[in-house]
Amino acid sequence: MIKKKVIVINSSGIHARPASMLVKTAAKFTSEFHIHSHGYRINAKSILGVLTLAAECGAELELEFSGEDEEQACEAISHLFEQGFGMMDTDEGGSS
Amino acid sequence: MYTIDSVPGYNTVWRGMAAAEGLSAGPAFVYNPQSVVLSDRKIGSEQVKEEQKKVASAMRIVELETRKIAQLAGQENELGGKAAKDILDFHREILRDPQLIAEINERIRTDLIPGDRAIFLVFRGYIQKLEVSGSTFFKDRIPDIVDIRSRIISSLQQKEMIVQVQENAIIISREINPSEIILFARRKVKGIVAERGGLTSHATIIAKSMGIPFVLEVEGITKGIKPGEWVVVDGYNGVVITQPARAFLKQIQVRSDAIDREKADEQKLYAEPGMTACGNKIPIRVNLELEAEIDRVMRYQPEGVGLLRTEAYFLDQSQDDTAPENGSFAGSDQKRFLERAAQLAGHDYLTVRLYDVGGDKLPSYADREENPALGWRGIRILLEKRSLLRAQLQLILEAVNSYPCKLRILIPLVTRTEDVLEVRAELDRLLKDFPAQKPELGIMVEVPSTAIMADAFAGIVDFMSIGTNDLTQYTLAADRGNPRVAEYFDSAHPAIWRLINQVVRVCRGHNIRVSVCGELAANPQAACILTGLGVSSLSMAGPYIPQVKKKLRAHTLALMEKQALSILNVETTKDAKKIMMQF
Repeated sequence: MIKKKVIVINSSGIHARPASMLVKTAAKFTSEFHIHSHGYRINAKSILGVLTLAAECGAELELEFSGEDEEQACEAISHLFEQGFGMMDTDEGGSS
Repeated sequence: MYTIDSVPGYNTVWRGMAAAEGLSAGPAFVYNPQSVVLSDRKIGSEQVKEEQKKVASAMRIVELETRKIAQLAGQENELGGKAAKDILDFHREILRDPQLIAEINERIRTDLIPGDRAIFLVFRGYIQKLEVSGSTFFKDRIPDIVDIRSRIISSLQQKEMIVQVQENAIIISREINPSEIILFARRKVKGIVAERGGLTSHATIIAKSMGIPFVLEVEGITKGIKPGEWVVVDGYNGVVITQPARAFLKQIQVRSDAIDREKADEQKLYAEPGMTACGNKIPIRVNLELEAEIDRVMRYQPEGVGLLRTEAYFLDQSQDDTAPENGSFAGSDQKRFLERAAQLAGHDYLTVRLYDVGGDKLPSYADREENPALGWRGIRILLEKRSLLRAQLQLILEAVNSYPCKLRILIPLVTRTEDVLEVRAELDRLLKDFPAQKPELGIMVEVPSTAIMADAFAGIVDFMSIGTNDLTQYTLAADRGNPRVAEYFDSAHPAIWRLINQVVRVCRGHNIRVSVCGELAANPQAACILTGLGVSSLSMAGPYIPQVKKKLRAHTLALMEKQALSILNVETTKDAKKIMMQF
């Protein structure tokens, strides 16, 4: 099991779009993924769970991964937090 | 464009916000949405599985509908389009939330309650948590979640919320949700007026894409009008006129007829067949995924149906082969979808692809696959679950039996000639009961090995269809859903053009038809190259049809052939794109 602390740096917090990105990324890994915040522990593969954290900018969260690919999962998810879920720059995105 | 005379007691003007263009008059239908009625019965423990299956199926259909709306939103160039797409992607994630589904299933099992009540209760738990979260942003998401909940429940109850609405009515409502607009559009209403927006941006996008005049933020209108009374909606200026005088109504009628004629002229191009500037015909057909799409794509007048996906109506009979027959939940839905698609196809082709699902859709198959894209899916599942294959073939043959369209059956994820021969044998056996039918059997070319071995397949199939999305993903070893390798996933890569060319050459040599049904066909420049390579037809989502038709009609086949030849010699995607840009 790996635990890691992260801080939400994008200004609007983990709202709809970051939450979608978070669970989409998490779904690529087989490891279990939970987030601890204010004594709650939620399943971070569940978008409704992530949303009920109501994590705003500046919030400190603890990520917990356990499973075969926990290291890769931790790296990918931490990367999202570090980049502010891509909300720091304006991305035009490709055609879907 | 018209003048409103002031006549005492008549022509009352209401001002609101213009949301979707159009001008029309009709009798008012004051829409007063009822709260969701939940069943309060208990279920027996033997019904648990059935209820859980219904929930899964309802969520899948709503998810697919949401995906379609998100696609439409993504095409909107206005600023709102992108934002709306983000929110809709968020809706889709909720509809796929594994924890949510698990909790609903658990609730059904332990409380022995029907699916609709279980959905209601589990969602309520989340809504309550968001309500106490304190942050306005998170509270603002509550209407989205409530809307999703009622959409799943009404899909589950298969309840037409809006059955009483008569055609040509103007809907007057306090607020309106995207799902309600879709339902109203099916009833062919002529306009919508709302006091508040509800989920404004999505509702607007949908009303626009359906061509329904829509005026928002008309304070007090529901109180100011009696049901059945005539009303005029002007979606250009955001104006609503109640108690219209007779002369005024007449004026509106004339103006709205003139607008219809202008539109019809524009749409004349839709009615023309797909062809090049020099008159070489290349049929342009439509891809379908949901029954609800059919009404919307009709206006593009596709020449036929080039790809009908059946996954949304996936009917798992694998648990025990005796249980649900064609009359069951998903079966009758699929049949109705096929019948309506057959009507749309007219005398042209209706191309039905057999279930292209992965093992995760089968409850009996719980293990996660390491690499599902290369795993147990498509024809591999159908050949192992023969009853599933037979039931679907039977259902397709029955559904189209009384229609004049030409049926094509398409096999997904074919990698071996045996795959085709096995399906052919099953089909031939069933065809004894349908002596009048002579369906063509063809394959999806979406795996490089199949493209390379196209000559081996050409002798045993009636047609081929190139699925460029999967062909790209498999050829370039780039997962199309993975943003980290997004730059590696590009259907304009020279290898894809060369593979397509190889398949087209083989098909032409064997005198069988070959179509392209992936996203590449919907790109107007790529469509020109494909035509130049000698593809027999193209198939795409409805909204792309006009732009592709227009582009093809602007260039000659000779130029397309020349550019197609040069694209086969490039070595980089960049160079390939340069050639495409010449159209």
